[in-house]
Amino acid sequence: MERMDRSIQKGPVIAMAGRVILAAVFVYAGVAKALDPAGFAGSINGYRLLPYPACAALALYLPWLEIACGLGVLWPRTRLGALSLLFFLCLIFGGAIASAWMRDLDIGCGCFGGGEAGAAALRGSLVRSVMLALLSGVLLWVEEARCKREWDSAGAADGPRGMSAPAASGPPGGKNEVHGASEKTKALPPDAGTL
Amino acid sequence: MMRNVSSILWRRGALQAGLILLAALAPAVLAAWCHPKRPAWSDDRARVDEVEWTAVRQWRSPVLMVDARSAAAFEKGHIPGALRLGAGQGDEGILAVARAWQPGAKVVVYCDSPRCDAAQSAARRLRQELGLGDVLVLKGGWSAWIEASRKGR
Repeated sequence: MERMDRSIQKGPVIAMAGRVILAAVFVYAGVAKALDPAGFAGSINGYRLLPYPACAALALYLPWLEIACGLGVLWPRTRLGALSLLFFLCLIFGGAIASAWMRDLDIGCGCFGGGEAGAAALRGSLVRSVMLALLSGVLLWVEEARCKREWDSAGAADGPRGMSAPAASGPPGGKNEVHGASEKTKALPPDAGTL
Repeated sequence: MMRNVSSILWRRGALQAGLILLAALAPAVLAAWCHPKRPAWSDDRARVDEVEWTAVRQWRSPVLMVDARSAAAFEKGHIPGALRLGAGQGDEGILAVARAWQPGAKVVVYCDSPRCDAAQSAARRLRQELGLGDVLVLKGGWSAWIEASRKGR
């Protein structure tokens, strides 16, 4: 029992460590590419999946999206959205790398603004992408479970009526909890969908 | 009830994702406007011309060969006299080319095969960072050079 308690206590610490690692990887990758968008456009063009103007636009936008997502993971009010975006980004990156590997393209992944070219380098990048997708997927699942748990506990704390729910304008369990709302309100808080 | 919570969380996540997507747009637009290393919008401007090895052999001007392949591939073998400028290399590769380049010399960059793009990236880098005008990419790369060497051309 004591062992179980200890593992429950460790859960948030492990999740926090995972978020910090994910944020550090994406902020670093974003900054490295934001410094040289022309080089990154060449890297995207090397995949031969998109016309060059689209590669140029992506080279200007993707690094900042990665930085925004990396920072968003650290802030509770944007965590859910940032983790969802990172999960999909990792899947897209993994798909692009896998397609380049299968087509035997002799390119580098370009994930951190350069890097070695060739099949071995692409294989390593693919493994890294899959691991990052897994990490962001697990963290997304943990975050969703945490939100639901806090939502439920907020409802239980309100007694048998079960009429309360955390307001969507703040993190569940935060200062903005609404107590004593109607059942209809619980199903869909008036400010649901806000940050 | 659980479905309601899930749908609210889903909506909240989608809204947050939308805001993050929008937030990233502002610096991207700024970078497109004034970043010193912003990409060209047209492939024609960005693409470096290619040259056949048979043509390179006929040049009378000095030629500086630059190898854009991996360090391992370079160690295994390279065109005699070639300098390495890999994608993962820092400034030392560029500085080595700058030191070896003589006025009037043409620079020819190569990578493994027609499927590789590393030579294009390295050639663009040489044009942008060293301001070299006469930079070309070897058509067919290392494979074409090996083939030409076998045929004694």
